[in-house]
Amino acid sequence: MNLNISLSEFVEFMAALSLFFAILQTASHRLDFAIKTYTFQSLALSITMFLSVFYYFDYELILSAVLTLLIKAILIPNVMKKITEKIVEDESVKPFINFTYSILICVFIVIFSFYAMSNTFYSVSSSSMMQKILAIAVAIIFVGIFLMFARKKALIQVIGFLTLENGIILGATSTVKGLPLIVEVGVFFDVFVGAIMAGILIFHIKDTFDSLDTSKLSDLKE
Amino acid sequence: MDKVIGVLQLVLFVAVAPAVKGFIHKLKLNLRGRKGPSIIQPYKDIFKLLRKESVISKDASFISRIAPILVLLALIVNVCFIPVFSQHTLLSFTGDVIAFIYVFGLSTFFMALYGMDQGSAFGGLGSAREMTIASLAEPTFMMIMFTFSLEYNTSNISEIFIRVHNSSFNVPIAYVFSLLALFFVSMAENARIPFDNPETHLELTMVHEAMILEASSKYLAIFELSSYIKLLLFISIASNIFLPFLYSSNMLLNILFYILKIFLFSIPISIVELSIAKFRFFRIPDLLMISFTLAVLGFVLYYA
Amino acid sequence: MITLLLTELIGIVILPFLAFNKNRYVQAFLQFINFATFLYFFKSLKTNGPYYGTYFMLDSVNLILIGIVSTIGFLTYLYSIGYLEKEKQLKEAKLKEFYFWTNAFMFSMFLLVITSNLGIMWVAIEATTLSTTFLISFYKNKTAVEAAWKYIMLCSLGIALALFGIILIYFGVINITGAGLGSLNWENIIQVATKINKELLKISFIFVLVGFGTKMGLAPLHFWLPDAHSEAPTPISALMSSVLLSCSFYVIIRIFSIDIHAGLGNYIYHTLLYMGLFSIMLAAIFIPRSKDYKRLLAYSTMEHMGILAFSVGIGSFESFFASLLGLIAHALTKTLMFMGSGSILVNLHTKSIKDIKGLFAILPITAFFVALGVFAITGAPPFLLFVSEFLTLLSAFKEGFMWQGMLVLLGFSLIFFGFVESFFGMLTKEPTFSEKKEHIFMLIPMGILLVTIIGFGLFLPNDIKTLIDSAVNTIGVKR
Repeated sequence: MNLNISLSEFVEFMAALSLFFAILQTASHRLDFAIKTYTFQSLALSITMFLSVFYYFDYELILSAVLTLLIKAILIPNVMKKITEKIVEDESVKPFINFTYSILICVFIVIFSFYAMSNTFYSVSSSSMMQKILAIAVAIIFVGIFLMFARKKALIQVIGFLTLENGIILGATSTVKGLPLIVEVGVFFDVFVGAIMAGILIFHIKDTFDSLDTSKLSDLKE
Repeated sequence: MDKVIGVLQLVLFVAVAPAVKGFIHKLKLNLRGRKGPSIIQPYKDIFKLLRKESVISKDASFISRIAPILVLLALIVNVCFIPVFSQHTLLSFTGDVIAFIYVFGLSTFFMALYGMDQGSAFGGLGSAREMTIASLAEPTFMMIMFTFSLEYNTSNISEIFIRVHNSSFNVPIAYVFSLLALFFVSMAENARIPFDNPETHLELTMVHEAMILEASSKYLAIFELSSYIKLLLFISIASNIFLPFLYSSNMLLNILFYILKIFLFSIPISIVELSIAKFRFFRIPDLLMISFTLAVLGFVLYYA
Repeated sequence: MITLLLTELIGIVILPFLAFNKNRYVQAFLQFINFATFLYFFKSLKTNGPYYGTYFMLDSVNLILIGIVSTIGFLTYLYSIGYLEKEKQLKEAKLKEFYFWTNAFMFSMFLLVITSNLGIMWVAIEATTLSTTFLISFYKNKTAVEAAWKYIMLCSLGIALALFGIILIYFGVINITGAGLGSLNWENIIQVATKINKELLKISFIFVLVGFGTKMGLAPLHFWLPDAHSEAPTPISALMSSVLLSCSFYVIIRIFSIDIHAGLGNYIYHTLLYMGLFSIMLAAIFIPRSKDYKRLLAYSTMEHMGILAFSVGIGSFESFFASLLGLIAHALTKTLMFMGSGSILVNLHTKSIKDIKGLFAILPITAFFVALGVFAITGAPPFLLFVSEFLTLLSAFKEGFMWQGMLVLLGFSLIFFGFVESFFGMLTKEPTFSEKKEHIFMLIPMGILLVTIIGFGLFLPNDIKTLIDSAVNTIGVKR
């Protein structure tokens, strides 16, 4: 028996690990667990990007990988941890859809995204690794969207949005080997500023509503 | 000749099973700093139980007498599927993966029936919980086995065993997911922490123990033996099919390797049992769902 | 030459404001410089023709948007001189914050309309989302914070999906021209548009439509629109309603022109048509039921965006002309209406329609502007919006969309009814407040806008006509 692990398989594995952590986020009962899982997810993502440099031989990806590591795996989780320490009193995550069904829905999302991506890209792609990583990216995107809609706490919605961005960056890495540098830096900057602004807005929500439960944000209705 | 080897595999399996359970228990207690009973204590337990007198509640029906035998028989049929040190098992002519899983289901079913039959509250409680866990764990188990079947284009377990041990076998790294899922499922089906505590008799925490609470003497002995066999079954699947190393064509050497491998694979079980506490019961479906996700990921990554 | 002017433009709008009393006048003057630059660009386009560079470009589609952004920006800054003076409880720090975020907003919008790179367009739109969030939650009460949260979550979600669509387009182009910044350049993409894989374009179209459609306010992704536009301070509401949504429409048109050049026209037209129709119908249901006049204006914005999508969805030359004309008309008219309602809000401090009566006695000139504005925005002649709506319906019936055109007509009537009932309810009968003084700087922009709308409605200058014609040609729709 040979233990040959080719590079493409390892890259796929890291991407799948990122997807697994994203699904684990939907199963988290507490906020600090969700933040830790998000850290590992971003870490797996940056390792994926770093390794795919050796697969595609495109050295601009190294910068993106390092940026992902710095901003998404270190900076943003620190910011979120500070927010939770300062203002969150009740760390439990209240769901709209309970946890068991959420994970089941995520499984269906994974299957659906693999199915959808398998049919459409026959003619454009020659590499099967790219197809799989694109499918994983689409799955992460949909898991992020699901997380935004299925939870009541504002901080989890922010984590869902960041997961969504992670999925998009992974999709960009797999298909186009990284966007041009200026655009990539712009995207990172936007996401980072967006996360900070959402954090500040959470402070305001806490000030005015005294709770972070977004189901109470229903004054403006017809 | 093949049939003889098959019978030999079965005898070896049943003989080693209690020792594995004793080993896990002793290792756990040693790591905690206690001395613990000896490894052959489970054998002594079974013989002790056989000598005792059996007490059956007067509300029990014929199920209480035949269910233990049926559970043991179902598990022995399962053992006949699994190649222990050679591919010639007793059921290698059909060795179907789906049949394997369904016979498992049969043993779970009868054990649950036994739990309800005695008419005590604990038994019903245990049966209900066991059914919840089984209904979530079995699809995961099926998914894992199907990953293998699809990779090797066969649903015969002995065939899988042969092909796995052929030299040009590349372990796709996605198998880590399936292996983790198998680990979760083993802990669930064998009533190990974090799903169930095998050392307790408190009603809050019993699942497996609750079902066999009313059993005594030879019936209890049969149930204990069944649980040892089930544990060894899962460990053998992991060691023989998942990570096929240490395999030679010499039969005696194979037996030695097999015993070495199963003791090696039982170490993680002790360590996990030691490190975490048992989960509250309604968090168990979440955990089993996560293991289902892992199994699906392993499957889809390979096969998509 | 053009690049130099462009950099000056950018430099001015991001200038950190200075902390003295006349700050508001200085800001308005800076915006006037932008407006002058726009006039210069207009002349330059006529004489030199379109300019396509690596980062910036200037063609007829662009110029319309630059015109809208700079004109409405200038008028809004003028208006906010008066508005902020009336809002007496705002502290100095709050004013600084207001101008900081508004300047950042204008900067990102200018960046959006003059860049030629799809990636930078995306970065600019996300920047507009981020800079307007704190403007929506400016007053920091419950409803404002809620509106800001919904806004940032929904719009960021949509825009992220649009990024995925842009990545897919980039992927399609890379297969032909190779990686690099040039492959995201709009002009380069247009030249290779026919060779891009059609499946890829179709999937990316869906992502882009969902994404930027959220930003533009097309149903069913419009949920943030009424809340955000009614909770923001009025100059910002005016800017967002008229300019930001026009810019999102612009990005959609840019990306769709890629699809049109690639020959996928029929596929995208139907989707846009029905989304537009759905938005019009939804708005027509909610407008007569509104109790809050700013919310009513927000729904009217949604309706007009629906009309724009509807006219693009018809797919003929005249309908594209009508939609671009409608873009200009809507920007001007909606700003007028928001300015009027802002004047009402800042003087009477209530947003409810029922509480206000007899506006002619309280604020006479404003009431006069509002009355004419109601007719303007519901599409009555001789205002500019009438021309574009009429052209839309005409091309709808010409191309054979009979029942769709009928539904749109029904929507128009319902909306007219809703507007007249609400606003004329506010204008007539016995006054419920005492007479207030009107600020001159709030009236001047409204006057300018009204004159422009009536003037263009009666007689559209030839320059503008040729500009829109060449814009439609650039997009790729043939006669």
